[in-house]
Amino acid sequence: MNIVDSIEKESLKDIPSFKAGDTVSVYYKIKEGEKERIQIFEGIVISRKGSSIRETFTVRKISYGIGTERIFPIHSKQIDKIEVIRKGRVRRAKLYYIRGLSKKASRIKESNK
Amino acid sequence: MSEDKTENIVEDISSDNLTETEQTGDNNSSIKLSGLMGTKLGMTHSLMDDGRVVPTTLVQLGPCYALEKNLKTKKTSLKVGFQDIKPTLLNKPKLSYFSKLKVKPVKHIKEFDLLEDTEIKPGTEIKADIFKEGDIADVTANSKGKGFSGVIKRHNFAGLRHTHGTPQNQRSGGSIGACAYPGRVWKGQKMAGRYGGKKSTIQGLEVLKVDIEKNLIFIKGSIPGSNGSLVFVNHTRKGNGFRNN
Repeated sequence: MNIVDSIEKESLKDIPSFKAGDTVSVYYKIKEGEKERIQIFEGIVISRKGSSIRETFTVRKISYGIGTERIFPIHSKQIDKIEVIRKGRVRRAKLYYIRGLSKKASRIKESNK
Repeated sequence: MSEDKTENIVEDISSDNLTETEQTGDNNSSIKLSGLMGTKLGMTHSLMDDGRVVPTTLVQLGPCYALEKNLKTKKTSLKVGFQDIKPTLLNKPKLSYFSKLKVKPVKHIKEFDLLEDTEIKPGTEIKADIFKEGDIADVTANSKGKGFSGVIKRHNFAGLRHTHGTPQNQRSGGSIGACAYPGRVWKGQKMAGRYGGKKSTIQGLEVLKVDIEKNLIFIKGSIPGSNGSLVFVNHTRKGNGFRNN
C-alpha cells in the first residue's frame, strides 16, 4: 500500500452500509458561536460518489414543499452519525430521475432484504 | 593501484564507519534550516475538524543528511544530501568527497541556509520537524512537461470566435504584428512552443500538518511536478508565515 492510501485510511470512519434509495438521517454537528448542536437531515440517498476519503453522498428531502438536497462527505468529522431508517428497492445507482417526479411518483418501495 | 583505492573508498563508505555517524541522528531537532528537499507523493483531501475539505499534497521530506557547512557564503549554509545511491554509480572524485565526510553517498546535494549556527556532525539526519503546523512554505520543483503547446494553453490567449464565419482556426493566436511599421515581429511576441518541464515555484502555501514519524508534511493546495518527483520545500520568502515565528 502506498503512503497516500495509508494516510487516507487513517481518517476513514466506520459507517453503516447504505446505498441509493435508502432513507437515512444524518446527524450533522453545527457550530453556533461557542455552542455546538446537532441538526438532523433526513431523506432519501440519491447517489454515492467517489471512493475512500473523497466519497460523498447526496440526501434529498422535501421540506415545506420544496425539494432540498445536501451533499455530505461521508467521512466528514462534522457528521456525528448516520442512521439507516429504511432500505429502498431501486434498480439504479443514481436516482437523479426522482427530481422531476411528483411526491407520489417518487415513492420508493421498501426492500425485503 | 587505482582500483585498490576505489575499493578502499567504497569499503570505507559501506563499512562500520557509518554506524557512528548514523547514531547521532537523534539530536536533530537542534538543526534549524531554511528548507529541505523531498519527494512529492501525491494529492489527497484533508478533512478538517470544522468540516472543511481541503486539497492537500503529501511530501516526504528526506531522509536527508547533513553533509558540511558552506562557510564561503554570507549566511552560513548547510549542504544537505538526499536519496541514497550505490557507490558504484559514482566517479572517484565524488566518492572521495563522501568518504572524507564519512557519510553515505547521496544522489542530490543542495544548500540550505542555517538559521542557527550550531555544531553539526556530517551524516546527521534532518527530519521534517524543521516545519511545524501553520508555517507558510514555498515549494520549488520542475513542472510537468506539456510538450509543444499552442498559445491558448501556453499564454492563456482567448482564441478566435466560433461563429460569424471564422475559418477552422479557433485556437490560433491571430495577428502577430502591424504593417510597414515596424515591418517585423516584436521581440518577445507570445507564440506556440515548448511548455512546462521548467523549474517553477509556488509561494505562500500553508503547512497543514507535519508527521515527524513518517517524515511527511501536508501542504495545502497543489505543487509543481509529477508524483515521485524531487521537490524543494522552503520557509516562505515573503509574507507573515516565517518572519512572525
